[in-house]
Amino acid sequence: MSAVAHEPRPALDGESLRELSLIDCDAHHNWRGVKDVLPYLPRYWADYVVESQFKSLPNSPYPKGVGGGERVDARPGDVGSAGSDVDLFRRQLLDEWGVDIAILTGQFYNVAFLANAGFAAALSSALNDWMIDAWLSQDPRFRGSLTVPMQDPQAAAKEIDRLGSRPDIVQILFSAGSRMPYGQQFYDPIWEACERNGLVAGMHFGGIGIMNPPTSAGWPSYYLEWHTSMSQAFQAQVISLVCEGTFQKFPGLHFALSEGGFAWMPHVMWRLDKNWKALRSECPWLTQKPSEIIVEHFRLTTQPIEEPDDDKHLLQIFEMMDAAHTLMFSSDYPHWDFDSPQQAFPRLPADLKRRIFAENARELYGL
Amino acid sequence: MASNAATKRHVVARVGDIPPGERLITDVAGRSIGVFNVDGRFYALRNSCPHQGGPLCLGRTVGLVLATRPGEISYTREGEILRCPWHGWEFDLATGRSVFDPNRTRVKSYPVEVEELQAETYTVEIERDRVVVILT
Repeated sequence: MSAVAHEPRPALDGESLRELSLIDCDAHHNWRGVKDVLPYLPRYWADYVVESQFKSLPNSPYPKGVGGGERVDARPGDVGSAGSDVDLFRRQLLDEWGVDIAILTGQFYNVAFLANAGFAAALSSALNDWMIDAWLSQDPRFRGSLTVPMQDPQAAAKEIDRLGSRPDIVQILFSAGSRMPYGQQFYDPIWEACERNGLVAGMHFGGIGIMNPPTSAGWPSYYLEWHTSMSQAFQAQVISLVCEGTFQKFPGLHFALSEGGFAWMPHVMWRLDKNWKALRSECPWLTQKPSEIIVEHFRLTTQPIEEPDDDKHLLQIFEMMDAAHTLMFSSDYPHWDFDSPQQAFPRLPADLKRRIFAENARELYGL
Repeated sequence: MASNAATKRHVVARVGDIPPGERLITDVAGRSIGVFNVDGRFYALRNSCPHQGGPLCLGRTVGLVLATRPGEISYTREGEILRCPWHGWEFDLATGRSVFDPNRTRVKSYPVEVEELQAETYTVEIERDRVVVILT
């Protein structure tokens, strides 16, 4: 293949040869519809779906201005949603770009936007079982993200314990938008279960329904605004998780932040460090600089990559955020704002490219 | 103290002038220095915060706030931590070391154990009922 990550490398030794060369940390498979998971639901909830004519998970209040939010060429035969056909997915993402491992991120963290926590828990389990059968078992390059009901941390932890030890499950996935900041102890059972099962806590763009708006100013009018503002929710979550001492409680816990941008990270690190020097007695469990906790416990994915007019500014951001240890490639296939591994990046030093395209993800997910 | 330090010895007050819990901010050889009495122990710190040069010794003295885990807070050594009146950075009166980064962020100070002092510190002695700051 001709993907960037497959450019010749100098002097490969035995260990290097075993290294994965391209890992996509955000690849969205999809269902063809709720009918896919009906067989996996308990009878009560299956009947609930039929009786209520439940058709889809809560969807964004923003009509997605481009392609309905999908890459138009990724729709299987012009019918069905992009990402819902395993063969096309495989061909268009894995084979075309030479992706060695794709972490499937679905569309399903939206279960957490439902008001009914019991329904969310049942749907989560059904979606996870369906994912294992319909996707993970279909190609050894797939890894799965568990859907969990964030409305009910105890139920979420139970689901994590049910499937978290499977080698093809590498993380849970939930939205950056939340009902309260994720560092608050309401969510601790989820983080504890992730740590117990060695799963990454994957936080993805999103947050509607019962979640708070992505900005403290409220709901913006346009998809353009919503998409751009989402990084604010990520920042709030990082700050909360650090300040609340989540990583003192769960030192083995790591977060992967997807589709929320990354250029804001140096700002958050600097400002948090600065304020911590004066205000640390409020959170005296923080005995090291917050930025050190961030670099240790958070990874960010690249898509949608920041595109400054001058490439060197992006490289400067990479340096500021220690991208060699914090940044992981993601494509967001098959969505409209997909990033090509060949074209999305400026020329990178070879070592940094390896770190971003594969090694950071390999280390984080144990691939 | 060694006798050759005599020229660096500066009487700043009678002991009784600085009761426990109080401080004296005084000019010593052109430098503004705060002399603190913590339960009969005297400490001296340079009256300038290493952060942005705020008048450190005008700040409140507080306790040392630590935590074994999130939410479990301890409050000890009351009166032994000085907070800069500008931005609240905390410094240990006994050592001049900041709480947040004791190894790298410090203010010039006088430890009780003079012998352990290295260069670039101030020293304080009680001599004939007088408080003496020794520039080092």
